[in-house]
Amino acid sequence: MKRSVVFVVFSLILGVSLAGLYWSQRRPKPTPVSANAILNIAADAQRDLARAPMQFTRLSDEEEIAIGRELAARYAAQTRKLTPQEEGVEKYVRRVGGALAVHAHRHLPYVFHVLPDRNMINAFSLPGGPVYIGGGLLDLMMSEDELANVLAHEVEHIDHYHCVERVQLEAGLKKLNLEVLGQLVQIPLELWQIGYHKDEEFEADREGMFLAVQSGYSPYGAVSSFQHFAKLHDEYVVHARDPAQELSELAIQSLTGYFRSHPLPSERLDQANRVIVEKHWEGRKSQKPFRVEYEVHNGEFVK
Amino acid sequence: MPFTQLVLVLYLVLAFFTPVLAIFLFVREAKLRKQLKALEEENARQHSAFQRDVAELKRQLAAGAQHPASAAEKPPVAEVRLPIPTPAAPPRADRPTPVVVTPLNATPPASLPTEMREPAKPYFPPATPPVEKKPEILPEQKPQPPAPILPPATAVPTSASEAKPLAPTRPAEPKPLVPAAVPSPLRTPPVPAVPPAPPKAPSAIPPAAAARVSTPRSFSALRVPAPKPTLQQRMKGVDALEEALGTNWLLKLGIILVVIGVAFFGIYELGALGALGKVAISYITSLVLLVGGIFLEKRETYRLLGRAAIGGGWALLFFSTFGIYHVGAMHVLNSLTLDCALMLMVAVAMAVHTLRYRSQFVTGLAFLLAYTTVALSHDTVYSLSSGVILAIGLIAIVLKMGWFELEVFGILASYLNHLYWLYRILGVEGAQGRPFEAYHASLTMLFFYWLTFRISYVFRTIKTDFEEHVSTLSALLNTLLLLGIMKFQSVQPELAYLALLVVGAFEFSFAQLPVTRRRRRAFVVLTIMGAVLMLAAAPFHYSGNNVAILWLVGAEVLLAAGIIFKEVVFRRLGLLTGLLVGLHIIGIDFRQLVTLRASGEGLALALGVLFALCAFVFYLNALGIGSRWKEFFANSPDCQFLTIHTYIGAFAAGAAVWALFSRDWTALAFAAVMLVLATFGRKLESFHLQVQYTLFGALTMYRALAVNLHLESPEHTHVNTRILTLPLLAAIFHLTAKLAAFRDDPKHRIFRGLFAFAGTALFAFLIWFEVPELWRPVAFIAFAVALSEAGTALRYHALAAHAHVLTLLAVFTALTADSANLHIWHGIPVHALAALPVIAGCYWLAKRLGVENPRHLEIARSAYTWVAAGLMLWVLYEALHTPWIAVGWIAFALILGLSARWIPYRQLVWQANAVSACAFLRAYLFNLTLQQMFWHKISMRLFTVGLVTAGAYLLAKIAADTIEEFNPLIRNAYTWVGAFFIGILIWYEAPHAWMAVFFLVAGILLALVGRRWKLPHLGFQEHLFAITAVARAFDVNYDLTASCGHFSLRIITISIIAAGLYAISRMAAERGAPHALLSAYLHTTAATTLLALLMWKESSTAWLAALWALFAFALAALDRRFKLDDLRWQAHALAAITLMRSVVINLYVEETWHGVSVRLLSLSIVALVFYALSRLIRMPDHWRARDFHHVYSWSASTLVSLLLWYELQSRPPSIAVGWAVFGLVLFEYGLLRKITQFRYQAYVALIAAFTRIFFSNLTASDAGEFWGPRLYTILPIVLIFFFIYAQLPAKETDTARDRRWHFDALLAYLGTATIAALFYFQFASEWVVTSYAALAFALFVAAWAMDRPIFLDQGILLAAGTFARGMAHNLFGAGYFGEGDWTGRYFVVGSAVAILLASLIFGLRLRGRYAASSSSARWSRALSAIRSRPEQLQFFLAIILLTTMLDLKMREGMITVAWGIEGVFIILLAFAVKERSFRLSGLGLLLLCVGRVLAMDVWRLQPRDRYITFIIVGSALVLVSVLYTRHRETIRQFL
Repeated sequence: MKRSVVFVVFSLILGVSLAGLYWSQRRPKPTPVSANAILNIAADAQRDLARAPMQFTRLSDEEEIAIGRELAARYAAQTRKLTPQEEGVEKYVRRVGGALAVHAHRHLPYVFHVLPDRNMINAFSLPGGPVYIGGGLLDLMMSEDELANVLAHEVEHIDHYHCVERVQLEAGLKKLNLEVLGQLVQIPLELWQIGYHKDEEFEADREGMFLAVQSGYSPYGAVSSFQHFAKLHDEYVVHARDPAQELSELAIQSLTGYFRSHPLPSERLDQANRVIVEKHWEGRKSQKPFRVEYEVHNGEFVK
Repeated sequence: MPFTQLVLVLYLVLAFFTPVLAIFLFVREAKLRKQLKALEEENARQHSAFQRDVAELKRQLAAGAQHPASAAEKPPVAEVRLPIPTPAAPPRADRPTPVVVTPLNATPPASLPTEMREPAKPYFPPATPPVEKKPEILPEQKPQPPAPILPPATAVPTSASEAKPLAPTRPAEPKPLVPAAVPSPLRTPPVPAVPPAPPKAPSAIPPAAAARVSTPRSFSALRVPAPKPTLQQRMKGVDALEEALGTNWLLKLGIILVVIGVAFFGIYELGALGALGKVAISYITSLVLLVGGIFLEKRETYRLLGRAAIGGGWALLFFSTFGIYHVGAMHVLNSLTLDCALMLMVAVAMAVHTLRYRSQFVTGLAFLLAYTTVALSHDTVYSLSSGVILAIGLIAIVLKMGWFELEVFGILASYLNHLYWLYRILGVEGAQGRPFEAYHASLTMLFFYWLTFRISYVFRTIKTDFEEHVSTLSALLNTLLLLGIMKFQSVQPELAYLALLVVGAFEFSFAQLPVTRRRRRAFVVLTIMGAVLMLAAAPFHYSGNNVAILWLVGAEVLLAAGIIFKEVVFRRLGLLTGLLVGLHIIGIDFRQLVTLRASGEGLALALGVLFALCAFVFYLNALGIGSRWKEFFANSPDCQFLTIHTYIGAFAAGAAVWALFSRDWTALAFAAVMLVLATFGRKLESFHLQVQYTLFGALTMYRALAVNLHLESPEHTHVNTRILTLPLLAAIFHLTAKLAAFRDDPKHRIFRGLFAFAGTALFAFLIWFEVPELWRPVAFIAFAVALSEAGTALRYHALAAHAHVLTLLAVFTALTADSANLHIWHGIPVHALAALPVIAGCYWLAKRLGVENPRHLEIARSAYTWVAAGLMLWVLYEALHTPWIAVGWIAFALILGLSARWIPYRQLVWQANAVSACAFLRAYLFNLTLQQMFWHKISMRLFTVGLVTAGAYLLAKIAADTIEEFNPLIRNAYTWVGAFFIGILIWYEAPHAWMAVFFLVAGILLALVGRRWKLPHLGFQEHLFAITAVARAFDVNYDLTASCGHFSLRIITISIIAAGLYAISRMAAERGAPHALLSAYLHTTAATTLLALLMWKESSTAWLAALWALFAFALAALDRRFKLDDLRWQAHALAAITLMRSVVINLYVEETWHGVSVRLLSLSIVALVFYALSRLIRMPDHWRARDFHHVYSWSASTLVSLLLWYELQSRPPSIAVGWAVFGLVLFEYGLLRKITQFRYQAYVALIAAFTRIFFSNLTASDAGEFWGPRLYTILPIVLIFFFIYAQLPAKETDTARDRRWHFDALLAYLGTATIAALFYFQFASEWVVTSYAALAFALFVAAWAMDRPIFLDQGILLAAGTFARGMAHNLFGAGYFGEGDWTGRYFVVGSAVAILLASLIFGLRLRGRYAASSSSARWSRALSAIRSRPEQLQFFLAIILLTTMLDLKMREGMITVAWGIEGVFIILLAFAVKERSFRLSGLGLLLLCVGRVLAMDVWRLQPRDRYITFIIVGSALVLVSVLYTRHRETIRQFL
């Protein structure tokens, strides 16, 4: 290339780069440094590679139900007995969940439980039907539609084999024989609480919204839930002060965050809004109030 | 009644067929005899004419030999000599025939027309079934008398393949020298000379050629091994396979699928059609197939298609006839008899019509399809009558035509048909003893099948080996299938023995018929089968000993019969039955004995007698009969069987002894058997008997150890039986040892040695158990000495080895005796005194050991003296008080060392060294820890360690001066030990703060003394003391806080040490010594280190890096001035720690100096010093030539990069852009100034930028945001990558080093990878596959347009990535219930497939542009092969993706249909682009469809999907086959 051409192109590229640098510096919202990109790629690859064998070694519904019951029995042994008020809440959750479960693809014995822990802002499900929702998460709920969307999300994790595939994967890694239920002790229960792969979460969100709408609930329940989660998430972002700290945080994130490669709340919120637009559900905005007996203000029950 | 009706029908069938068949066969035989006679006459005429021709040829050859001059003028090929065969050496099939030597007729091959030399041989074999390629019928050749001269032309090809003319031999055929030599009924008609004949293979074979042809056996001994096929030949094989698949097998499979599909259609209900309608459709379809087939068969091109259609049409017609009564959905007829008659008529017509074509394929296809279709729809046992009719028809055809392969399939079809019917009424478990209604009818039908096929087997005429093999297979299948199905339908399992006995007896009887004995193979097969079945019947009715006895009797009867009638089959059966008896007594009877013995030692008389009888009979067979009738058993496998009989006899004998004797006497009985066998073994010189009595010896030894030792008895008690039996057993072993040695060779010496060792071991056990503890060492050593002396006297030196073992036992017992020290004599333990005779014995044996081998003797003597020394060491340890043990040992070492002066035995010297080493260790580990005082202020430690040190110096001085083994190395070791002990004493005595100084002073003194007295190793001791001093200074002196005047004690002591180090640095080592320079470096380095640490103690944190940098600069300057290399290295080291400190400390400094950041100032100074050092630092020229000085510029650039991070850290995505811009600037500067290292630094910065985007930029945008920081920070980086890549052209010399490290490729890959990563996060996950396909498309376009192979490589990689992503994410990773819309199901992956297929346009244009590499690396060759043919990868990835998508997304019932249609389209595409591999893949896909139909669809699909699949896939196959047939010539052009 001629020198002049090189100089012109060099100047142009330098200008474009400096412009990008300028826009980046001008952006008001700082971007956290994380290993999410690599984790997403790795988790994608891991999940994609694991999915094909899952299809060829699928457990029957009966086996899945038996495994779920075994795990649920272990969980029941770790949790305390519910108070009468909490039993009332659980009854309410079961009614909402039961209305949702009839529309699932697979007809499994879905059972809904409340975990009496105000610090647990989470919900999860086990293979074969058991669904758990934490007391902390219930405290965040402002409408029955939000509850329905959360429960539908968990039902869809079961319905779409996400839970049982985690069992299969762990059993494969640890060389467990799933026909011997006692060997399930080697799989920690926390495995189902830490979320799923990004695509699986998206799938559960999307299909959960369909389930909620089929059961007569508003899809905006999912939107408001994700808004709560986004607000919580922003409070936990930490910024590094030097490359070493950044590297160490990246290492810690890589180690602890591999299994938490589920999408950011903002991404889930974006998908929920897109689904609403695509399915023309904009008119379903009205949400049912949360049950009167369980209105919560500052963590206290109010009849 | 229906059963009677069925029997009646079968009888009528037989009654009808027998006369018709007899008359037909009679007429046929007369015709054949007539033809045979005519052929004999023709053969005789040709033979006489041929002899005349040969005589003429010989005459011409003789005439040619008389005129050598004229022969020399002929072309060289004319000199080929004719082979001169003899009657004893028939001609080889591949030798040149007489027509090859036509040049004798003065017509050289060069003058032949081209068409003659390269005959127009069709590329593919004729499209006819294999059986039709066989040559025409030949009359059976009579054995000809050996002709005097038999030219090769008379050699009849031994098989159809050999009948094909070889290419080189064909040209000469049109111009034969001897016309009479050409005619041969097996030869293909000669090709006319001009013009060449078009390929006309099928018409060249007359119809009669399809019948069974028998040829004489080939002379395999004269065959040469087939050469290894070349690649071209293999490719031709693939081409032929494709041709065969396309024009032949696909057609057959298609017809079969269509016929079965129509049958399914008829069987299953179809709402709109009634039974009559389905019957009509079925008949019409069959007639259409028949008529169409007959029509097409007359056309040459479609002959095969026509024949397949005829076969399918007949099968469908038979099924239709069957179905009008038996199939519910087609039931229009109510009479079974009428239906049977109709089926019979159809079968007869089918046989008669298909035989017109003399094609085993047509007939076989018709019959087997008929079997298959009727098997689909059985309802009652009487529906199996169709199978009987087909079997009879099949047997008639087999016997007439000799198509025995067809019979195998017929047998399988008949029995499996029957089994399938039974399975449908009994289930997968079978009858399991439950009676069912049609049992007797089924049994009768099975026996009818068996008898029919058995008669066919017995009465057939066999002409070739292959036919005999096939017949054998059918015979075995017949019986096995019969028994298997009888087992499946068994209602009385207790009568199984009767069935086996009867069938076996029948088979045995059939074997003895004269008609059977004419065929040896049939006799053997049936005899073995009958005998096996009869033997197998015994365990079904008898059990326990009776079975063994019965089998033993049977074995002896068969063996006797074999000897009487001289029939090897009987003999071998007898021997094998004997083996069976052996297995039985081992597996069954012996287990009973084991069970019995587990419960007690009582007498087992019955089992003992049985085993004794078996032992007698087996030894009689092996040693008696085998010796009497040697001619029957020599040189045959029977000899091996007899050997096995002897082993079984030995086993039986052992078992008999075990059963008949008990307790201590069992071992004696075993020993007696051993002795008897040894006697016989020596007499017969039998190796196997030797093995057997050896095993008996092992058994005896085991029994003696387990029982006769009486380990259960209390210690120190005497057992009478032990005292009695052990010597007896030992004596027998020694006697057997004498008998065991037949000869004096190694093998027999081993046998003798084992037995002798066993005897000695038993004596040793006697000593162990019967002699008191303190006397055992004496007894063992005395026994060892006695054995050694006896071995010397008897000249049996193996006893010396026994002496070794006994000596070890003596030592062991000496060391372990009286371990509790219960016996003391004057304060000395008695066991230490008891060890003294062992020491004496060891020295005696070392002196007088009787061993012939000098090496063995030397090793043994050395071992004995070492053992004695070790034992003496132990005795001293036991006898002396603890502080004086080390002194005693050093004294013993001195004695040993001094003894070596008088006894010239070197091992004593080494033993002295070892003992003194033990003394030193003892002094170090024990005496140095002593606290008590010895005398006044002299401690015991000082006194005893001093004595040991004195001993060390005494050994070093006195012994070393006199004995050469105390070489300088050992002497130095002794002085090192002395120095070590001195140093330890200084450690205990010197003051705390000044200890380092004392160490250094001692070292300096040692160095000076060593330098003066020329003792270089003292210099090393100085080094050690100097190291100790420095270490002590680091450990203690830096922490001193006391002061001395204005200076702290730390500064004073460290300064003294540093000064001492600098002072002694050039004098510590001997001048000129190899390590002198290293010593000086280490001393100055230590001094510099001490000073640098002092600076660290005194200066502030922020400026230390700058101070160190300046200090390094000063050292570098001094080095540059005075050429002191060690200072240069210290400057490097200081620079390194300066850099570390800058990175670790200074980057975090936030204080300011006059308003300016100290971090900025200090790092600027450091960077400046580093850049200056990169230019000024002194280095060897070759280092500088390799850019080592740029370490400093690399460090500076690293610091700049870190500063960029700190400046831009508020917005993390900016950092990657900043690094990329910095890299761009560095690259341009390096390119401008031609500094390679700057460009390398630029590459690193760019790689860092690329890495950085994965941690910040790729996830920078918000969800749903298209134009965000992700896009506008990554795109400039991509531009920078490709801009720099564009400035690295291939022929630029300035950047040659960059390209050598493949930075150009790296940048191109980084650019593409960045785009791929951007797409991954920019698009929705399901659309990533499409974006990758589009990127691959763009790369292929770039590669084609810009002629850059790197983009082709990237395109290939992206195509593979697209494939992987599509498979893993979009297909296997997709949701199970969602994505039901058209995009999720088909469009996304379909669009990717479409883009990949579209990129074929450029892939085909790039085909062959980049030639394949000839590199030796397999990977390189594979990659270059892909690069040279990119369209292959593009096509196959797309097709596999598409095929998998259809599999996963289509409804299960339609998958095969979709694949079939895809296969047709692939083949059409292959025709369009003229690509053979595409066509093969289409063929493969169609074959996969066939496999899927057979493996899955036929079992799983719903009826409607099933027959639709069969019909459509079958039609697709037929369509493709028609295409192949129609475009055969076009396809050949593509190959």
